[in-house]
Amino acid sequence: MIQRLTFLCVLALLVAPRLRAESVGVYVPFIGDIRVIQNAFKNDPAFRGKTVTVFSKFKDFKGMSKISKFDFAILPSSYGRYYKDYVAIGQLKKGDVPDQKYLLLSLKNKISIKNLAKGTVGLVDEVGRRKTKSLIKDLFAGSVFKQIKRVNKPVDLFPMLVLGNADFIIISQRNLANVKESKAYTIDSSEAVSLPQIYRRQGTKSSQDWLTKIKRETLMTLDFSEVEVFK
Amino acid sequence: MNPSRFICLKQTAFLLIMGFAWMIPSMSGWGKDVLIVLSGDDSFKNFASKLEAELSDYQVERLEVNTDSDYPIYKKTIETVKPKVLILLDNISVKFAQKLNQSGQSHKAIASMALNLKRLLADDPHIAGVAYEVPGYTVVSSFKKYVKPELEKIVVIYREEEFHTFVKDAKTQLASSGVELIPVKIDGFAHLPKKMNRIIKKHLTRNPENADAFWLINDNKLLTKDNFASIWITSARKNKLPILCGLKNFVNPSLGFCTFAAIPSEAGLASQVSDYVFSVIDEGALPADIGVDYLLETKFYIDETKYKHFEFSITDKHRYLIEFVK
Repeated sequence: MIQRLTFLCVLALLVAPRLRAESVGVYVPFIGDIRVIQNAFKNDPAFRGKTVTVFSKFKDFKGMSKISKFDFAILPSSYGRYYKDYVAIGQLKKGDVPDQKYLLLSLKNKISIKNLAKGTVGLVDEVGRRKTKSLIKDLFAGSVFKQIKRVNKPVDLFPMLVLGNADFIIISQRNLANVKESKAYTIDSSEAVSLPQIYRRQGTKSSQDWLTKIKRETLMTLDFSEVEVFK
Repeated sequence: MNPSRFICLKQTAFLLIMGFAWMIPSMSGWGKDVLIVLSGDDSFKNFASKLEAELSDYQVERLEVNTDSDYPIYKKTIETVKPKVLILLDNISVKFAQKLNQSGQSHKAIASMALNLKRLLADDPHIAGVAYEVPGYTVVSSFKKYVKPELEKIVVIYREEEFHTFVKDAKTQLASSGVELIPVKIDGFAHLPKKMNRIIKKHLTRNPENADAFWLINDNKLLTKDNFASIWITSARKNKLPILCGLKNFVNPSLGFCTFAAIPSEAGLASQVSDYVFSVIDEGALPADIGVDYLLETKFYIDETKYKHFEFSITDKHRYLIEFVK
């Protein structure tokens, strides 16, 4: 009897991980109804058998990922630069375009580098508080700011400027059109940076065939249209 | 002495010392990163819990203060805990911090959930903050963006002595969104209720400025228990123009008062405050560099009855942002 029970326990331990649904965590700084995005992923046959969780804040994704790593994740491409727990396996595109620039904006027109060093810059926390300084340095080499203020959502960036919480904001091109509320001037623009990417948990070999099957309508909820799978 | 007994005594002494050393920090709270000073009300306690979740990387301690007689406890706790940063919730904790700073013991602090911090901390280099009042820009420009795109003129009645900067900032900020703010001062009249009430009634029922909406500032000198029902509610129910405010309870079809409200998002505010705490502890920022900011994240509510009455139309794209109150 004891032998049989032991055998069943061992069997359960061996089989359980295989039966567990693969998990996908999605965090992309974007403006939209998270429920619409979550439903689109849930109803997409490409994600059948997978549990998808969409996050509106980076820190929520990171917090959940600390408790239990996702098998796959859709994240800003900057994630791979600062963290090594996921490996990029695919590139999201809008049309044929796989990248975008980040813009440094101000409500004032004439800004010198000296002004930057005296000013406060606001940006979306898309890589975690502790990595934000590095992100700014990587995007705008040579620009030093006196103070950095982070927000969770792109929609709060323009109010930062108008309300005077920040002298400058850093915003991606794709979010600018959605949040621009009044006239602002582009002080600088970064080199092109890859759009968000699809990642697989480091050290795993889960199948990635499903990437090419993701429906265009699903990607459109995040304002993308195609996936390019890395060879 | 028997050598084995001596070793046993040494081990006991060592364990006692270790135990005592372990107990000192937990007893005194020595060396904490953050001390949250709050008053005992549930809303502050709930907000403190959100802050603690945001600041999980740090050692955080709480101290409740309720009356002026709690100042010695506050002072002693600061001296014992020696926090790297204080978070001050409610005006009483701000008052205590300013008092201690003036005595020569300055501590870096971030304040919020207190009234009129922009004015209170204007010249304070030791305390940064997030003002708790929803800025006029946020409530009005959101109403324009999501509910009434054709909004061009909005009127506000205010007390100059208390809300000068708040209204001046709103006027400048709203101009960038193409909205003209028409301020109506009632200084002096606040002590003459009849005159003040006449002004309020005139603007709400006759709309002499031909405004598209009315922005209501939370001010207990303007909204009193004597004029709330007889003037504000009676006038608002005439539905001459939509009233935008900063209190959720005022958006209620059975009350018939405000049409639209923007209120602080507690989660958003906790995130904003904790970002400044992070800036001070990890990035070496000074409170004076951070300043006193306006809050950013808000939640929106609309009275469904008034929404229908004024024939507003919120697009599907924005509907998820606003809660309809039935």
